[in-house]
Amino acid sequence: MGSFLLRRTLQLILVLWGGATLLFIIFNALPTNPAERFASGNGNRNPNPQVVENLEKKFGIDKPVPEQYVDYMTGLLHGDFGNSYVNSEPVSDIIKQKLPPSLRLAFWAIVVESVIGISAGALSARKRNSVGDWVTTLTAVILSAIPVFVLAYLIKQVTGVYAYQHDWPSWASFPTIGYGPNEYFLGIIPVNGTWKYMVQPVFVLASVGTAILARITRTSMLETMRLDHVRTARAKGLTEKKVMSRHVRRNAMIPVVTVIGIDFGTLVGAAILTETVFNLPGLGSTIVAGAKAFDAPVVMGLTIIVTLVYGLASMAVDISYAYFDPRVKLGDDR
Amino acid sequence: MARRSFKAGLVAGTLALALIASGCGDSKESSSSTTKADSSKTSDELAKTDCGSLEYDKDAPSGGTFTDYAYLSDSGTNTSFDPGAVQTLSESQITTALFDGLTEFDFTEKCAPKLKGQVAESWEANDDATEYTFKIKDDQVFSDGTPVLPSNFKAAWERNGSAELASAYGYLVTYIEGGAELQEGTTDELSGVTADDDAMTLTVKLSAANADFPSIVSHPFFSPANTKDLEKVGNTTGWGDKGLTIGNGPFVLDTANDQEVVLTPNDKWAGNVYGDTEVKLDKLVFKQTIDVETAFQAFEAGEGDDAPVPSGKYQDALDTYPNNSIVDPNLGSYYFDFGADDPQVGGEDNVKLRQAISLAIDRDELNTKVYEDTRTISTGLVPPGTPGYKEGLCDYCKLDVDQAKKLYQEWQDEGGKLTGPIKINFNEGGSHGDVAAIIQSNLKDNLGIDTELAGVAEDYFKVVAEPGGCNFCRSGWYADYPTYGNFMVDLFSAASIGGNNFGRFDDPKFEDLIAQAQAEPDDAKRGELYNQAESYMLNDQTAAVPLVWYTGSQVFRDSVQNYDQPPLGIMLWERISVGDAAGG
Repeated sequence: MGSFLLRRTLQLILVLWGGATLLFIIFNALPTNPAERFASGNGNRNPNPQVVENLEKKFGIDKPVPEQYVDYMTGLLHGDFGNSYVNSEPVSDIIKQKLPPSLRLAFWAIVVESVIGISAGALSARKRNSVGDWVTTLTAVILSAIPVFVLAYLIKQVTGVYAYQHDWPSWASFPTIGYGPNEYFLGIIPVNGTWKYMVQPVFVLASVGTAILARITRTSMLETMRLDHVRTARAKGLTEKKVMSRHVRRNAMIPVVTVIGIDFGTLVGAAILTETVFNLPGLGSTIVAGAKAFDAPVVMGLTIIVTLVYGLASMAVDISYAYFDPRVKLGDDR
Repeated sequence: MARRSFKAGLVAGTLALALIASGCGDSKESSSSTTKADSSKTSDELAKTDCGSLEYDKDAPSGGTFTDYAYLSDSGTNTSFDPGAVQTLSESQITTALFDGLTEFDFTEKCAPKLKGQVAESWEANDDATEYTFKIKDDQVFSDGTPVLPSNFKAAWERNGSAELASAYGYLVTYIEGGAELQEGTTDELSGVTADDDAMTLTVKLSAANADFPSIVSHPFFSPANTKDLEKVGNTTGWGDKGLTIGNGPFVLDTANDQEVVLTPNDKWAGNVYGDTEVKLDKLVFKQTIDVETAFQAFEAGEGDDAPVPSGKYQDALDTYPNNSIVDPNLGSYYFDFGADDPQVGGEDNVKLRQAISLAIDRDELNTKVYEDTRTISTGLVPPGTPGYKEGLCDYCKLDVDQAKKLYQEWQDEGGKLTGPIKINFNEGGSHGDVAAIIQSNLKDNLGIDTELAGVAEDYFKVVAEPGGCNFCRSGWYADYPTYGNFMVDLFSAASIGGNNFGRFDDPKFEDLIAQAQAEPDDAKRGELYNQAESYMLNDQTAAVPLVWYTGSQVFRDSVQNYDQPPLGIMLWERISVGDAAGG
């Protein structure tokens, strides 16, 4: 276990360095000068040359590229991600602002995905070809097919705009944007009305993942149910309930856990549309805004964090394999 | 210089005095329903009537919270509301609520703004408009109780114009003697400014004659800086309290984060140029939203007290929300430049061709199809609301196909010949491509002229500012401050070639006229000189083709009172009342 963690940690550091270097190269290969971009008000006017020169000095991009690279990497080693070109904010402060909302959103989306997706998939597998199975399958296909921003817009139109215009009771109407009071118990459980602001974004963000998880759970369970040891368990006279809980679910969980882990890593950094439509600025939407403004420090800093979260989630998935399948030996290279 | 950024920024979606300009996009701005101009009016009618007057009910209820969704509706572009760093009209809404400058325009009559002293009691210019002495009022204090002194202005300007701060509007300091050196970083002091705190005078020597200087200092960039605040932030800036926040305006900063900026009344505020000394609201909240559509949908769901109208929804919004600013005039102009160095359309030999092109463009069609009939058709380049504005200066800003054909034929008879399609340059995105396509169709149908649509995806204004970059190129301008010179000098002077004079118009007679105007201290005479310059540029030289003037773009709730936007786009937040029902 120790050697596994050490090896994966070193791999993760290598990935972070590679990602940061790649982004640095990309930003420096772009023809757009961020100082000109900023001085022009995002391209809305022709920039003043002296202002551009001053901004280049301020941003540190007047130095030779290798020197900029060394400066950036040295900063990273000291936890300094640089300052945003757009608002001069230290990127580390931006990370502190944007990471918690992204983690909360992804966490609750994963909870919804796991509870609904796995339950529906398991039900579907156990009651194969039943009405419930068909409903689950159809719902999963529809949810997978609807783009997130369309689903979000439609939900907001109904529970926000239509509800307001037709005086729906408060329990049936939801705020369309923002965090509301933004208060949480233990940093994760929304309280004092904050939950009402999170319900819709969480369900929208979880929609596609729930559908995929339901399908994977169903398939995985059906495959497991056909295995010899399950047949043996039934032949031994175990009840169907015990067969499912002891021999099917646990074995069927490996692909499911893989999807959940990867999905969490993805949701933290790529919930761009949900964050945008519900105005919950997190890592994803901030990276996109930064890319549009050629704000290299913000894009690179936040991408490193997303990569880190993704890497940690992936590592957690690998560790979980040992629980679900005792044959898996962490640290064993064979 | 706002090409729809202090302008546009100054809304994008990003005008004010000052300001801030929002650039060239398609932003719009607003004002109240009771004073709005009729969108169906032609610009002739508009100019003849006027833009109405600011509505203000002094007896409107006080108290409550106003929650704004209109101005910070493109949060990815928000930079700072520090007066030294503010770039957009949107963010300058906060800046001007926190800070009062030396002067301010009184927009009581929207199309006839009057420059008045705000912190300045009075000012005097020398004979050639190269030196100004501002007398500072002795009753002005910052929100922390310290007095506003002449030295607070000098220190602020030195910081805002410093190379280290690298303000996008840093070039404004170069109007002052020693400003260029400050921008270059070779000095920390602004040698042209002398602050005498005992005599309460601020003496400013300019780098060149400029009779508009008292107007220019109404820009937020020239706000005073509190000494403690300045010691805290130095030549750095950022969002919220990372920049200058202790001001002398009607509000004080309560909190600022990535979700909202909250202001509360400044009980030490000395009042504005309208004579108001009271702030109606208990709290003013600017909500940051990721985009305009999100903000508008939230408004439709009952959230917030005002919102921006997304492109394409203006007519729907006009029908649904009687309280809006959609047809209110803004100090912005949308036009095309002819490239003086373009062999086909530039030069003295091609004046008649340029005049024919301008006459062949159907501005009504353009306004209807692209802007849902919400903009005002231009009759000149400089919009109404600019001091010195004169209606109908442009002889070629109307559709007259017969006259266009006649001029085109004369040009051909005199040896003119097009050797290929005329390139129409525009920045891709927004509605500029639609405008270019209509112009292309008009020129083909009305004159048989072939054109080529030449869209530019990135850094458009940099591209067209290069030699040969502008053939027949789109432009737009939102006033940084309401002066004639902000249009004529910044957009068409030889000194602006390589800057915002994309057509590279360089004409000795025009230069002489604007030089005379800049040095003319008498407002009326200065206006006449600028009128002559504009007329010469549009009619005798036809260097540009004005199309439409910008209008507003906000809707607001029935319960809101005094929501009337001056043409520059900066709201008078101290006047806003949320009525009995509101609260935000």
